[in-house]
Amino acid sequence: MISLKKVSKFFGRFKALDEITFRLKKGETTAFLGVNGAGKTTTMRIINGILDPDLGEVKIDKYSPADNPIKVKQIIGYLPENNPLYTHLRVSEYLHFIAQVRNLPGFPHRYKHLFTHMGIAAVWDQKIEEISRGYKQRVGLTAALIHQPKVLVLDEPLSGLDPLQKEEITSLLKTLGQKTTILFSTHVLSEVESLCSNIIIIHQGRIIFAGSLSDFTMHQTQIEVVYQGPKKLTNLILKDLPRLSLHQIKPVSAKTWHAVFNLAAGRPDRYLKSISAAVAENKGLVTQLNIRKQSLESLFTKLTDKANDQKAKD
Amino acid sequence: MIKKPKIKFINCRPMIGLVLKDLKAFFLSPAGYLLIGVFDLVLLWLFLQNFFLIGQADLTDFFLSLQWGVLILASALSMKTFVEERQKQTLELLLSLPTSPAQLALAKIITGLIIYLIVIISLIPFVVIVSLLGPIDFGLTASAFLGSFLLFAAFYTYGIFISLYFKNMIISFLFTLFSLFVIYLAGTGFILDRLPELISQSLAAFSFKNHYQSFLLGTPAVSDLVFFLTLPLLFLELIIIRLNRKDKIL
Repeated sequence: MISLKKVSKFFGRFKALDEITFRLKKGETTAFLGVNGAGKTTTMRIINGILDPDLGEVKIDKYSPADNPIKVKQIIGYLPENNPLYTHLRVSEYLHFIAQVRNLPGFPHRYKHLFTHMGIAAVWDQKIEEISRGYKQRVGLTAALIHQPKVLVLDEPLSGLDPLQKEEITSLLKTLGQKTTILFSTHVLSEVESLCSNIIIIHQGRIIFAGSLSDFTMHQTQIEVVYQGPKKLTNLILKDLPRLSLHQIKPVSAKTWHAVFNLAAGRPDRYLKSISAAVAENKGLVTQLNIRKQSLESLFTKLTDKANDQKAKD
Repeated sequence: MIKKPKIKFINCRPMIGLVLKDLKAFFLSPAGYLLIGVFDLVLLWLFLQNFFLIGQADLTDFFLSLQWGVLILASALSMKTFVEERQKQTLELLLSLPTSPAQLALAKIITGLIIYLIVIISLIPFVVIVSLLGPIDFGLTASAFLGSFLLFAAFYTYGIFISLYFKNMIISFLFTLFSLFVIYLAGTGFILDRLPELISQSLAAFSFKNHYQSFLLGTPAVSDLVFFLTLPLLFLELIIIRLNRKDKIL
């Protein structure tokens, strides 16, 4: 549905995007993660045809935003960063304006189900400048959805909202995600897990991860073992299980060790038995064995630090 | 077989939405009415200073003052167009909608022209009062209003083009006002009389004042109409070119 191939973008001499490539399939909800200035907004603007890439190819449902800008804008519903709205208008007037510009007939009757679903009936006749931020976000989302887009691109839809409003918008996005391909950017990682199945991480204009959320967290899982036996037992475990790497080992008492292994691939629960067996085979005794899942925040920080180190080396 | 060139017509429906949105922005705030009110009052005040001294129902002075009023009004209205959209970040929203740069530019221009038509309508009661005091030439008055409308169109489209280069409304206003003032002054006798004849004659052909004067005299020539129709079209094209340079306008 969305495909970017080696897309680069320069602002003067500054390379905002560096050959980014990713694909989003129909009906997927994907979080676009990155720190401020990583290139999220630039990428989203390029997807929408608001900016043109300097290099590379962009396709939205087989159409290129450069060649078919109007067609692409008909396919996409876009919520820009900070949700800009014409605040002097009433909610009804604003949505009527969007419907007119999008050449949609039958306003408002034909879209009543959408307005009910988005919960904006209570503020229908109010001026946008007078309504709460949560409602403003709903109005922005309704405007992005009014033409029943196949693709929804949302730039920081949760920023600046209080926890209750975040919950409201998150639940709305969950419902929408059942039918629509959604790409939303955020740097609030706590919402990501509940909302989407895929993530793309961008850092300094480069994609440093693109894949499923489970892959991302699985690959970064750690296994924690407390065992009685010699310290060198860890080497024997690593020899038997090459997908593990030793993160750290600390003595608990004279013959008891606390080892933490990083798991490069595979399901961690499958490794628990293998580790127990490897320790028992080498005459040791496992007293504690846990899967330690890292928070998305710490994984994200690790990955961006790694990317920084890599860039420094380059 | 020779292929017939495809003629692309601009879809007007999205433009109606854009025009209505901008008209609402103007007329839903007191600032819009205040601007028109102050404009009318200043014009009347300037005109009435000599009107009773001369003792003739003659609107020439009024239309001479109007040219400067148009200059200020076009600068003030045009500064709001794209600068405000950029300041409020709504330009990104507009660019995400299925509208072409031509539609966006035309909608802004049409909005301004409608506002100016309303300004002209607001001046009609005054013309009627003057006509009650003495006979006036309604044909000449209509011609002068048409001239002011075309003058406004040229100044306003220039102002919109300039507004695409600034992020601050006041700077955009002052730049438009000052540059228009210089351009206008360059076409007056004050400057033209001091220049060599060859340059003076060439510049006179592009003088706003000369072309506007033809309308005030009630004798607009085809060249005057061509002049005033070419300029807005030229600036429309320049606005579209600028809007297509997406990196520069956001």
